Amino acid sequence: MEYHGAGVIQGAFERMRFCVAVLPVFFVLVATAFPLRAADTLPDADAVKPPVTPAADEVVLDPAPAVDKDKEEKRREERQKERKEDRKKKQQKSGKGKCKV
Amino acid sequence: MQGLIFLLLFIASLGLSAAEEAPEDEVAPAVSFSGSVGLGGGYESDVARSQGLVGGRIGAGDIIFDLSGEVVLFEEVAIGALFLHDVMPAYDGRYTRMATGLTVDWYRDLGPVEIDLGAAGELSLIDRFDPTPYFGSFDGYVELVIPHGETLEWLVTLTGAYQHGLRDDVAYLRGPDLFLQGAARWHFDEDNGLFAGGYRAGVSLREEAGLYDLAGLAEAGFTALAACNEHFEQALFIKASYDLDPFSFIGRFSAIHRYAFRKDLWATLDERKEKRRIELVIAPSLETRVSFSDSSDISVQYDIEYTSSSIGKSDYYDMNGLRHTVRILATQYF
Repeated sequence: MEYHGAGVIQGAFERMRFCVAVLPVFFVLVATAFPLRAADTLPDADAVKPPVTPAADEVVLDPAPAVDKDKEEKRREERQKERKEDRKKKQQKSGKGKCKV
Repeated sequence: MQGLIFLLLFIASLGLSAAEEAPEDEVAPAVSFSGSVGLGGGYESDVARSQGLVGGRIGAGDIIFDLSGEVVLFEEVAIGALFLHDVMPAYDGRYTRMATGLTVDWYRDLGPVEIDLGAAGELSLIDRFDPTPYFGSFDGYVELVIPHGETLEWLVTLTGAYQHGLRDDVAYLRGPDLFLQGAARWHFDEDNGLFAGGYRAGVSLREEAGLYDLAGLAEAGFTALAACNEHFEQALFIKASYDLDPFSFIGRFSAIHRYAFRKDLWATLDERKEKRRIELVIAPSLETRVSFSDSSDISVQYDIEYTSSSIGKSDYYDMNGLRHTVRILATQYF
């Protein structure tokens, strides 16, 4: 089918049906790569090193207050999680907005 | 399609090679994968209204299957995919929907400010027996996060979106949205609690609705309709949550005000009327989540949405109403 004018957009969306076919490929990739991630994050037995005690002259007597990176990271993850939830809620409502008339 | 498959393969191979090259002393991997599978169901008290049908307001239940996956590269770029199957047995399954989407997000810590950029594209199909493209949409956002001390942060978000109704009955629902939002988030009790609130304002521009865009209107005796779908919208929203392991309690509240740019016009054989559509929507929501482990939870959510509109019973459609939605969803994260 050929599309003209505004119909080009219509046609583009209709052809996006293939996304449904592509998604399983994506999930297969994720599922395949998941064990690799697990392997990446496991510490290598040979790489485990004993804790290093700093020499007396290396000890910083008055360190500047460190930024709590863990807290920042946790908050960022929380915001991202909320964004994902918002997207899911929007997706659940998608197509249910016809009451706007 | 082949192009997208090659793109996904390229991204995956890029991520894996990046992981191999990551320095040994890096704690976080250069590439990480995550996702979730959700299964649940719910009940909505006013399906007829949400589907734009004139007449009875009928409740209906649905079953939801939800799947999402995400690849994060170098802790900054996230590429994800979403899939949703919402099975609604009522109306012979005509409103069963399937939605799929792709998302891209980018994050950078710039020191005093953090910046988030993102975009999403979505396609939804409708009808159980003859899946037909229903809506296509794209949206993007830019968000600045400004930490203020240990417990407070400010957020400024600019959002742009475009929705395109694909099936004939929603073909008029096409157009952009543009919103600017300011919010504050306060973390308390060692980050177990969160109180957030803000204000959003913007415009939503859709094409005008005609007589046959509202199912059943012509049969009800109306001879003409020109309903303005371009409006200004502003909203106040609040969210409070508290984690009390293994439970999480979340409360949300929003008050939305919409003001149409032009008056709606409609006619019957006896009269011709016009009125501007002004709406106030009050929407509180409560959610309880129980976590069984770090990777699984069940959530129960109850939403109320009360709409007070200037278009009422004596007009072409009564837009006033109360809608309840209850939903339970079990999610497994990986």
